[in-house]
Amino acid sequence: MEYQLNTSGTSVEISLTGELSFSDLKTFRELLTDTINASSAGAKQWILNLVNLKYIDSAGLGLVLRMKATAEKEQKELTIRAAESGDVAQALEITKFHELINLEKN
Amino acid sequence: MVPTEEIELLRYKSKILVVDDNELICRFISTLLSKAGFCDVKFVLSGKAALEIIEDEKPACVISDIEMPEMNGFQLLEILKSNILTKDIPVLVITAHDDRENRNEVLGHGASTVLSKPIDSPLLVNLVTSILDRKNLLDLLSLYHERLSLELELATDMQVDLLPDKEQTNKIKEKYNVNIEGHFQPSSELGGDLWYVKELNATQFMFFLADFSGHGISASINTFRLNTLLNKINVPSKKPSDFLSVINNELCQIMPIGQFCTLLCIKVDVKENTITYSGAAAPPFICITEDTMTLCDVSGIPLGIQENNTYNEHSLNFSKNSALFAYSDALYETKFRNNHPLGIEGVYQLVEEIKEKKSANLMQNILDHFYLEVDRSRLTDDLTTVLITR
Repeated sequence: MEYQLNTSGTSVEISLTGELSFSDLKTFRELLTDTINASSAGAKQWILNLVNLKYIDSAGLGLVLRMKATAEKEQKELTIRAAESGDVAQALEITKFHELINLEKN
Repeated sequence: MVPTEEIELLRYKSKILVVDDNELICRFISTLLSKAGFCDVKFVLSGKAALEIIEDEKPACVISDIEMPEMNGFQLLEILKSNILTKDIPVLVITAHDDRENRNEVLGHGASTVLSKPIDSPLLVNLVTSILDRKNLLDLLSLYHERLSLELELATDMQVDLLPDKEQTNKIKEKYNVNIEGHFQPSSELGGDLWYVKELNATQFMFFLADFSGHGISASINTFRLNTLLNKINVPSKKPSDFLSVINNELCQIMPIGQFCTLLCIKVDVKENTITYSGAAAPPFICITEDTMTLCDVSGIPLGIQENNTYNEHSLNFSKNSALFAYSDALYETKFRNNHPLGIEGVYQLVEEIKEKKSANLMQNILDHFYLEVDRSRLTDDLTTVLITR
């Protein structure tokens, strides 16, 4: 998985590409630290953009849940942006993630 | 990783054996190494004497001359390298003939390194240091590896013991006249899948298939937690959806953030000829009756994330000659040779094709198809499949 941060006004957009799985634990920790640092200027909203993510496994979904917990701790509002269809959409559908985290279909 | 201090400590305690027919040189090297801090240096004056001591003491490093009467350095090297007990002892060879041919011959005989005469003292100390550090590091790593392999082997046995065995499935067969057949293949020694059968009364039993997020050791520890929970859990309503809610609340107490569990829960009723099922993010299972095949949706919020979730519940006809095929996500998510996974639709089609052929063993056929495409020893996720037939 690779990530890119874009700060604009009151939100930080975290865009993921590639595959999010078990082996991304370390990268994801860095991502969380980077996101916290990027929001220090006053961003209130985190947007996790999964539109260009190809694949996510259960451990990857677990990492998204960690981000949710971090967002709550940092008092940020977390929204997931995901594609309408594909592997990631299917994983989010089976796990009913929209009942846990704001989900925007793109 | 192995701490540097431990390697340094081992370095100076390591046994070193010097072999040279010239006692003066032996004493010179021994003194030099002692002064450099090496505490356990011995010397012998012949290859024969060296072999005796090596057998008894297994030194961590041998420093040997080449030209010696009776047994020369080459012969000593050959004997050491051909014996499984001594082949890993590094040998530093000191030779007066420092030409290219001779150097390569010495190395070709298995020496770790060659040093020419007259001896360059600091170089000798440096070479001995690096030889010992490498040897000790390798020894520590292989010891660690051995211990871990043994522990994993025991843990693997424990995990396999968690799953219903022949004795238990035979009991189910006798009591309910239902066949249950399971397959479990973890991606490494340990896995995060668990299937379980709980008898409810004379005509009903509950089947569970769980998959913890991630895989390997951490996920497998969670399967032990769930197994304990399933053993003691008692839900008076006997409704699958209530089972899910109760298990969810219990798991929320013990699961760390970012870990969760998908669970399929099916109640089989052999008197009413029905199944009632409920799921939390489980892959859709397939219900096969004589003339229908249904892909049963069991999506839902996984267990262990958020307390007080409620779950949907559905019922289906499950009369004689019906079957249920449940599986973990590895079955449809693992990439085949063409780099594409089977997909949920693919699993459904495969079951349909095999069913049409009316072959006797549905699950074995599915697994055969899967393992034709995927190397069993290189699974990226744990695979569990269970077939329940009436």
